Amino acid sequence: MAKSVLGNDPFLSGPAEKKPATGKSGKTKGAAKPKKASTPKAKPVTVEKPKPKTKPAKKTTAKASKVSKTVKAPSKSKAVSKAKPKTAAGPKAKPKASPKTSRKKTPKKTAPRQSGTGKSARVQPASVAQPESNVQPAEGAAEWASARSKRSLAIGGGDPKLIRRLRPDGFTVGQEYGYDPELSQRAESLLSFFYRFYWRVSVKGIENLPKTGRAVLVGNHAGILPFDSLMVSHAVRREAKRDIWPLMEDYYSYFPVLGPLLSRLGLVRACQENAQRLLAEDQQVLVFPEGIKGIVKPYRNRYRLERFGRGGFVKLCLVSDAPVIPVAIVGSEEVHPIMANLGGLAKTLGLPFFPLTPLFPLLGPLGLAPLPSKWTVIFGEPMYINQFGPEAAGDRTAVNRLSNQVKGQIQKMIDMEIGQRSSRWR
Amino acid sequence: MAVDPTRRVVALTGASNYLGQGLMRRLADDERCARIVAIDINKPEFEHPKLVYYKVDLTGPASQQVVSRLFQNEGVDTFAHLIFTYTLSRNRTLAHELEAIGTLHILDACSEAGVSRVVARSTTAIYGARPGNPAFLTEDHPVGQRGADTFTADKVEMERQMRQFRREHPAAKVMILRDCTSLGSTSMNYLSSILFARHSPRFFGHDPLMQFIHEDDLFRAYHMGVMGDAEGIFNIVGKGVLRYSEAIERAGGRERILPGVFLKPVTSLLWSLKLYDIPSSYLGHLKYPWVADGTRAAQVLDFVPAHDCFEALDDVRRVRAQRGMGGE
Repeated sequence: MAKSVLGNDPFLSGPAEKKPATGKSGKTKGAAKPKKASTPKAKPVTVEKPKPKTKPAKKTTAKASKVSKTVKAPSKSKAVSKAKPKTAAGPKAKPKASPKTSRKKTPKKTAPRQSGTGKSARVQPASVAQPESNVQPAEGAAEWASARSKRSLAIGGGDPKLIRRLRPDGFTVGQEYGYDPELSQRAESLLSFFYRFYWRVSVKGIENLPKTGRAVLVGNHAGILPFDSLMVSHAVRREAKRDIWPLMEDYYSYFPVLGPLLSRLGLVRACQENAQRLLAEDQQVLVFPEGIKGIVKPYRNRYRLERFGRGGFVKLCLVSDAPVIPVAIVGSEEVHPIMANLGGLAKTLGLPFFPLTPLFPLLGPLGLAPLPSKWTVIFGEPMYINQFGPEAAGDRTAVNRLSNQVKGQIQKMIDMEIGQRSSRWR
Repeated sequence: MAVDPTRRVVALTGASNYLGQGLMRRLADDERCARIVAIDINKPEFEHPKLVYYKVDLTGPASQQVVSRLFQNEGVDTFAHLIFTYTLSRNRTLAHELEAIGTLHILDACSEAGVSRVVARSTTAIYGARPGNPAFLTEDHPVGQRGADTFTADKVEMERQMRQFRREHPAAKVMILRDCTSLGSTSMNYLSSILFARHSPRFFGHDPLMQFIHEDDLFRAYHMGVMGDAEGIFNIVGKGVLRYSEAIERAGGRERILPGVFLKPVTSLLWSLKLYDIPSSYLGHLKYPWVADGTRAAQVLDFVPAHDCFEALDDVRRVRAQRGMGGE
């Protein structure tokens, strides 16, 4: 990691024998710490038949039929179509075989599995509940846990126990990064509104997310405010019943008001240390390697991926031994039609960018209101770039190549979805 | 003096501050410690048969010879350097003399007296509160970066001298403990004085995560550090983190939210009028995160804090209520 400016003597790094990995998780190595449940190389989860929904209100992600009117009425469980378990994604050869050949393999099986298969609103059996629910949590934790379960009954959200695990020290994962379970719980109905009615998010390929274990979700970025982070994390929490921690640009994290708010909603400042630490706890992180370049992309270039940074996410996967899950978010790039980025003005104001949209500076903050495009979020099949091992992280050519592979895969998923949608508004 | 060689003779500077007293109380009960040599300019309240007190002004030019002779006479083998301007002193010169020059003197004395173990107190504040900090700062994170204020600069200098001492004396075991803000019935620091004041300032739109250590945990950590054998740098932090606004609420105070443009001039005015205990250059600590990671201490020192930050705050609040102090 970083070298001290004061010189680089071995003292700094402490006793060598016991030096902890920097990314290693938290202070408490309590007994109840979850074992890594499945190796990151596990096969992609196979789809299981959805159990009958208990909650009619639960929105089932619209099937991909382009015409789908289903959007308006989430309550009609259109989901039923699910009877046909997809065969395609079931037993998939483990791309472990030979690193050389398999590398190209994953991209082959592209994501958007069109009709019907994308169904995903599974009800998760309680087994997902993390083992440590039996741990005696500190009282504060118990408080919010019970508060939360009360609330969620009212709101109709998922069972809280499914989603979040309490750590032995009574704090939940994520709280140490600023996550506020209470506020998130309160915000859930609002997010839900945007998710179901405003952007009518359809989700495809949710079964590609690992049920346990670490993963790095990589997506295309757009929107002056990180609506895509919020929607994808909402989708994952809702459909896959797992936590996910979107990483946000530095810029947001120390922007007044916005930064604290986003971090309370579960966004984590993007840096290797934070991401490695989360992955070491077998969490999922969501990254947008395009960064700010993605945000200020002019409208005419929408859905053309920008350069993927310097491959930080690839290094992250290699070092932390996590697979990549490519995520294509279609719809998000229409919420803020950016006409230009006023770089000079931005510099004067001390902002990283100053976008010009048909509404933005014109209507003031109101101009940042997102347009109601129709969103589809597609989770592709895992790409096991971590098979090359941590030593590849130092090889810039390899990192670059892997980065481009992931980018190509996401681009392909986006293009496929765009080709199929009839209108960007419905 | 003849001393049982299996038992240690511990000398400590800063003996009259809360950490010195807390540590001495624990050492007094520890069999492995034969004698405690307290060095300070003020006499500590704590008294014990094992304890000898010497009044030494470390900023004085002759202090090195004095201390060196004293160490040799007493047979000191372990030295805890706890001198620390834990409240932000208005007298920068004195603080600098004490922390930077005083350290220089005393380390010279240590090397002359052949002290085999040195434990120094530092603080997690030397990482600096910066927008670019990761959620958890490890011991490997660079310290003394640009933008660090003068208050931490002396601590950085002190650590630098410690490292140099270690290079020059490979046989000696050197340990630096960087502790976070401690809370408890005796702890004093600028952050607790803010939190437990009637009005606590907060930057508009900023609400960083903070961490606190209960002073019982702090004393225990130093006790383990002084009597143990490990060396290196360790963050000594409490369990859990909480947001600044939560901390204010838990402490029973009322937050005063001010935009940065007002907050800075207001605090520097109050600071220079001696109405307020925090200088404006330190306000970054209320704006950006500087939470440190205690994993290494848990793994190497086996130090796991027993109290979390909420308990620490509650404790202080209770104690203050008993004493009838403000803030309620």
